[in-house]
Amino acid sequence: MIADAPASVTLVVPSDVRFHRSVRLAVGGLATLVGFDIEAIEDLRIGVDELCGALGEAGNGDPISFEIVTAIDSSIRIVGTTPLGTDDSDADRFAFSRQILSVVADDYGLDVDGPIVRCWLDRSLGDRELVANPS
Amino acid sequence: MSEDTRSGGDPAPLIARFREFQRSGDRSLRNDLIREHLSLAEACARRFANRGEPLDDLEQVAMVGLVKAVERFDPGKGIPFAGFAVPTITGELRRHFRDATWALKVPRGAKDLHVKIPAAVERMSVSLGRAPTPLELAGELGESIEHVLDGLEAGAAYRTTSTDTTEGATAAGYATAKRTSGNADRLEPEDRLLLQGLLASLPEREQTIIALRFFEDLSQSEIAERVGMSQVHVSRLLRRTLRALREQVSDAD
Repeated sequence: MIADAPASVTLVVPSDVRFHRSVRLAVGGLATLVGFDIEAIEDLRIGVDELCGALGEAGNGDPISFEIVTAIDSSIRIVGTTPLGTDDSDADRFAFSRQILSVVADDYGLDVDGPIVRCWLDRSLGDRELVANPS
Repeated sequence: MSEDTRSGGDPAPLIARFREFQRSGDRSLRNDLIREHLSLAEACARRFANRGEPLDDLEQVAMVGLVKAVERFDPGKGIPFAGFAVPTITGELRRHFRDATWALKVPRGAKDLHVKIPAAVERMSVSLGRAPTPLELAGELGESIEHVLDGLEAGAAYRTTSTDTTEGATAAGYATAKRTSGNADRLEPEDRLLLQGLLASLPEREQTIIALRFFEDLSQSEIAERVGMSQVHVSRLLRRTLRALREQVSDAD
C-alpha cells in the first residue's frame, strides 16, 4: 500500500437506522487512519448521521451506498447515494441538514441528480491535527 | 375521515360519543371509534415511512397508538380528538424507532471504556493543548484503536440524564438575532423560522450547545470549556439533540 495515495472504501448498508452505527464506525476507523483527532472524528460522526438521515428520508428504501475516500495526512471525503424516493425531497429536512453539515464539514453537498439522491461531505486535517501527526 | 377532522364538520356528535364511552366503557363503541379513525393512524405511519421499517409494521405501531388515544381521550378538555390522537400516535411511532435504534447490543468492554474515555480526553487535552487522536487515546488507555472507537460509539447508545444547566444565549435566540451574519444567513427565512421554533422547544442547556456549535462555530472543546463539561459529553448532547431535531423536522410538514 502506498501510504499517502488516496484510498477508496465502499460500504453498502440497508436504509435502516440500525446500520448507521456501522457507517459511523467505518468512518471513525478511516478518519483515524487519516490522522484526525477525537474532536474531528466526533464531528465526522455527526456529519455521517446527517448524511444517513437525509439519504434515508429522501431515498426509496433501497440500500445506501457510501464511498469513503481517504488521503493519509490530508483529508476524507464521504459520498452517499441512494435511489430517490417517490415523494419530492423535503426542503425543510435538507435545509436542516445543510445547516449541520456547513459546520462539521469543510465542504458538502445534498443533490438530487435524476433518479439518484447524493449527499457528501469533505473534511481536511486542520492545523491541530497536523501538529499531532507530523509527517 | 373522522367527524372532527373533516373541515367544517361539527365535532359535537363525536364528542358526545366519547363522553358515552368514557361513562360506559362500552368496548363495541370503543372499537367503532377506533375503526372510524384508522385513516389517522395510517397517515401518521406513512409520515415515518422510508426509514427502514416496513410500512405494515409502522401501521401496527400506529394502531396501538390510536387505541391508546381513544382510551385516554378526555372529551371534557375542549380539544378535538385529532389534536390529541396525532401526538399520541406519533409518540408511539417515535418510541418504536428509538427502541429499534437503541436495542443495539453494546459490548460490555465498550461500555466500560465509554466511561473512561471522557476523563482521558479531558486529561490529555490539557497536557497536549489539543484533543488527542484515537491512537494517542488508545495508548493512554492501553486499548486498541478499534476498542476506543467502539467505546465512543457506545456513547451513542447511551442517554445521559444530566440536569446541569448553563446560562447564556439560546439557539432559538441566535436563529433570530443572527439573521445577517454567520451560518444563520445561509438559511432561507422560512427555514430559519422553522429552526427557531424547533430550537425553542429544547432545554436551555441543549439550546446553548447547539447555538455555540452551529451559529458561533465554536469547536466541541471550546463549548466544553464554556459550559463546564467534557468534550465527549458535549458531543453526546449534540448528537442526541440533533437526532431529536431531525425527528421534529421530519414531522413538521
